Amino acid sequence: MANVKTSRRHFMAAAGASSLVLPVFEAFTPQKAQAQMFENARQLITYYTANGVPGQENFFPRGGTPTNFTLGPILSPLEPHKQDLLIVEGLDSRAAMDAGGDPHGVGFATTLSGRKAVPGGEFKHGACFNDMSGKPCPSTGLGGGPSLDIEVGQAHVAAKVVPIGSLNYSVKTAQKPDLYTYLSYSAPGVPVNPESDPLRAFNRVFKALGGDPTVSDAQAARLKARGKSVLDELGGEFDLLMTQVSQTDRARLQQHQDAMRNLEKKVDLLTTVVVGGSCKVPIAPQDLGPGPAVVRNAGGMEDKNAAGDHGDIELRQDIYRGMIIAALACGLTRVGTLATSFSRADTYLSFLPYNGLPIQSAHHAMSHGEGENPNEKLIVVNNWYALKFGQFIDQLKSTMGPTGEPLFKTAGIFWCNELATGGHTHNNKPHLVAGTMGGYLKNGLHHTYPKGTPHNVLLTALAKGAGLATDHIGDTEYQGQDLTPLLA
Amino acid sequence: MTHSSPQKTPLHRTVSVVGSVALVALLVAACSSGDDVSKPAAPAATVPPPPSASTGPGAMIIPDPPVVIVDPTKEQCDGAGVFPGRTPLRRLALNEYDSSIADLLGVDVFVDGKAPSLGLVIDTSAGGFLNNADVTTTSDLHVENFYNTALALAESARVKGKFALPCAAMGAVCAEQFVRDFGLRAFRRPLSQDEVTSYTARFAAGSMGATFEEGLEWVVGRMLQSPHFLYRVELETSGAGPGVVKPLSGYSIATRLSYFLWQTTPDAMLLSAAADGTLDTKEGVAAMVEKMIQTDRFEATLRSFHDQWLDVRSVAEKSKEATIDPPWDSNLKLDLIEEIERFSREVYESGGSFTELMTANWSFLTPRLAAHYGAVHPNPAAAEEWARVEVPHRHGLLTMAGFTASHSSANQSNVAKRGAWLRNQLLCTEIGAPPVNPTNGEPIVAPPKVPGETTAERFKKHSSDPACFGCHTLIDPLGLPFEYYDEFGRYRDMDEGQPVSAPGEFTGTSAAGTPFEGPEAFATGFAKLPEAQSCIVSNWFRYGMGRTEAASGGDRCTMTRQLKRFSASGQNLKDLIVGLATSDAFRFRMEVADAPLPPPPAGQQ
Repeated sequence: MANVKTSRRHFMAAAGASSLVLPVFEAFTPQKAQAQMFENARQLITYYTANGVPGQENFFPRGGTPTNFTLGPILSPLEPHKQDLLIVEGLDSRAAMDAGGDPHGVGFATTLSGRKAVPGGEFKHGACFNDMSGKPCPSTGLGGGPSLDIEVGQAHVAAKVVPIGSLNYSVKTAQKPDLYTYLSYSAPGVPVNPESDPLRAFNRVFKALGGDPTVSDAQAARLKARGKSVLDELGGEFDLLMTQVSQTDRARLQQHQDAMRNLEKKVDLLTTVVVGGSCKVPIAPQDLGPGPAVVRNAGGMEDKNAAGDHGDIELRQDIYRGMIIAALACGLTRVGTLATSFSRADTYLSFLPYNGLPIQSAHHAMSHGEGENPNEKLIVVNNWYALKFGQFIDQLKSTMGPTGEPLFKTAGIFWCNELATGGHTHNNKPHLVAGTMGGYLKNGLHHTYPKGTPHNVLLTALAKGAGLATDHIGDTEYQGQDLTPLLA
Repeated sequence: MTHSSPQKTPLHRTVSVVGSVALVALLVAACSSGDDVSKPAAPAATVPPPPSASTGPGAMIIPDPPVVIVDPTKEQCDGAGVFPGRTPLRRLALNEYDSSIADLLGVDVFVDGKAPSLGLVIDTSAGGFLNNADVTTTSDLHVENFYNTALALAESARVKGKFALPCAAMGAVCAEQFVRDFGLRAFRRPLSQDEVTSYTARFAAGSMGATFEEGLEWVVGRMLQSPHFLYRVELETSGAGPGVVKPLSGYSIATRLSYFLWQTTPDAMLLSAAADGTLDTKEGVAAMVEKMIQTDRFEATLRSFHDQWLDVRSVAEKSKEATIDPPWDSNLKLDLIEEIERFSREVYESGGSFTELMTANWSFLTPRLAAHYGAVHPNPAAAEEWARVEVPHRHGLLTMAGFTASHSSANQSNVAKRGAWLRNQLLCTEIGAPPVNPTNGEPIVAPPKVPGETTAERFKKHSSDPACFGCHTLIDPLGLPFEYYDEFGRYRDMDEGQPVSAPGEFTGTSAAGTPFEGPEAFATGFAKLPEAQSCIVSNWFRYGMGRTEAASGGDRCTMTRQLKRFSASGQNLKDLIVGLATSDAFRFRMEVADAPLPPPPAGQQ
């Protein structure tokens, strides 16, 4: 194998490396300038819950002024954090509305990307939200481009300031690789698989830091050396093979090799992280296995009973939250995405009581009116998610970050949803941010945008808050909105 | 073999020159009757061939100059030309990845007993199957998982003493032998000398200052991440130019057969058949397929094929409102799944036909299932004993309760669900999910139960709306004959106190216009439907080739030939699999007509 030793980077440059999965920013942004912008650590967390809310009036403040507001029923558990919140009303997911296709699916794909799903793909869905003609909606492919979390994370990795671009966790595992499954994307049609096995998630991030007491320092060093040299040699195998296959096949291998390069960077940088100070390796979680696996039927609906025991969803959420915060504190990454489920999920939250009785209906079913008093029950459900969101804030406040100040001072946590309401709308979605991202965003504010404003403006504010050198997040047709009302 | 036609005039319609990148599908007819051409055994270590190889082993049947056919005509498909269609590079599907590692190292190396790919979101499906090469993507999570798995399992294998050594565990000679032996199994072909050298160097680096076994661990940790393990690399047409057709090597055929019929990496028997030339002839491949179908490992393929095509396991997730005896619990539901698996396996292995599959009045039942069906089990006291028995009112696969209950609502049978499933999955036509209700924008649901009104009547009203009628005309007449089965899949002749009426019609097919009544007439008629026969052939093609068949090009020939063969064999299902595994699409490879790669930079080769 004559060219095993040849650097594949050299080869790729010479052969005109495909831009298939290369992070887009590399092409536009001088890395040096971007690296300077990342000097001050800022953290971006996204927290996703499904199925819209039972009416905007139950989510947004009603009464009061923009800076002295009364929280609505859903957000009432956040009363102690009122001054930590930036509540943004009036934003539409325009990209979801313009893409057509299934509302839960395209809504999910546009929530963090602000991009229309790839048109004309495999995903056909009858339930059309923006066309009441009764005709089936146009079909779409997967999401239309990189999502906010991945774009910010990849820029950090490219700037070599952190080893891991982002942590992407999902409490539940979807079993079908479709639009309902993926919140995050790295490129058009290229989804990011969320990790759903807590122990494996832990091992992937913390094992190399000594999180596993059975691994000695010498072993860890050996593991790293072996991993790196093996990756290097494999690069040679890929290089050679790529000269022997067709162009289409070469693109497949290129995608694989790009992922290997990301991994290599991570392996490389992991050991530069010093445990100690703000960086504390959490205790390894118990082995819960992959999240409650769910089989959905042909129409995409989650079947009743399919989810089985949902008893550990809170535990899983707590584990992922703890790992995201620990990784942020260690400077392993600056981006974490915690999805409480995939979209359209029929999560059973029977541990929550309504009128003293367990809520037995599933989340998505209730959003379509199943059972008695579904909206009241959904307020209880969303109260619980608000409570968990508040715990995120608390933990960020009590954890020191790499800068030596509490993480909450430098972080922003964004609560998002694939829909506005259970009625499949994308108008005036429930958007909430906590934290100023180092004084960039206003807190203690309920700002209302004019009706019909694309939510890309908020995505852009979050990206800039995280230090990304960008003027806009998402499809360009949604740019040009004024983000200054959100800024401190 | 049924479809190898007598010698015909070779094909001569030259329409383009080789190398035109604009051509989407170039096809080459071998001037000799390529389908039956045999080639000598591939000598060891010919893979990977250098890209420029145009002579030497493996290149002997290329016509010179190649006759390029853009789109073979019907007559050409009837002839003897070789038309393989395209062959995208296939990454191991996740189940194949797991089973291959289990075969290479033993399942007891799995960390915490977890299958390596557990929890990874499954691969993207297209054309109904998860092994579709055209949509397979490899994400960061995949690669990181491949990396962690390879290193962890290599270590686990060392600790547990799982490296099968051909020699005393010492010295470079033994290490090199291990590289060759394990490499043969992991890459499913002999390693090239360069590869042996590179991997032996890996051993040397790994064992320096460490043990012999630690050196092997490095070798295994790298091999399990190699593109030659993770991808089914076929280099027979490498550098041959667009449209050039070449026979696959014995090793490539062994690999294709193994993943197609066993869902895992080739075993020693297949590898030795690859080495000794057994798989170089059509007859050799056919005999191997027969042999492989008779093994237990074929069950993995039948199960995965039916799970993906017919969603067999979905019944396990169905809850029902009413209480029945025996209870609708996981024991019963798992029995219903296993019934379908046992029944279909028996039909395939015994040389049964599509008609048998669709109309049989027998099945395998446990006493629990017998009670559910109202059948007689020979040994009712033996709760978990399976027996082949006649089952009253059952007419083949589609009438099994696993399907009829699965495509029902929780509280009633569901004409539209059953019909749409049949239309989509069994007739290979696309009926989308129902549109929204125009009045409230919500998804349409089944008509609620009304005392005294049969399900059939209620669905008829439900679908009579002109806005609904267009689709439901294509759906309901397929679902109605199944009204003799309630939401649990139990036979009934009364519904809501009224006699069941279950008129059906094969609307939208070549047999449209002839109404019939009930499930038996449905099953008999369905088995004869050309659309249904073509659909099962399509599905096996997609599953076997890892892609959706094109309507033109080589795929048109493959489908035409396979349908002809299926018909000539009396729709024999085993022969269908033999036919696909001996087809041009399976045994040959054509370089696709996209732009050739830029030459490697100077100094690299």
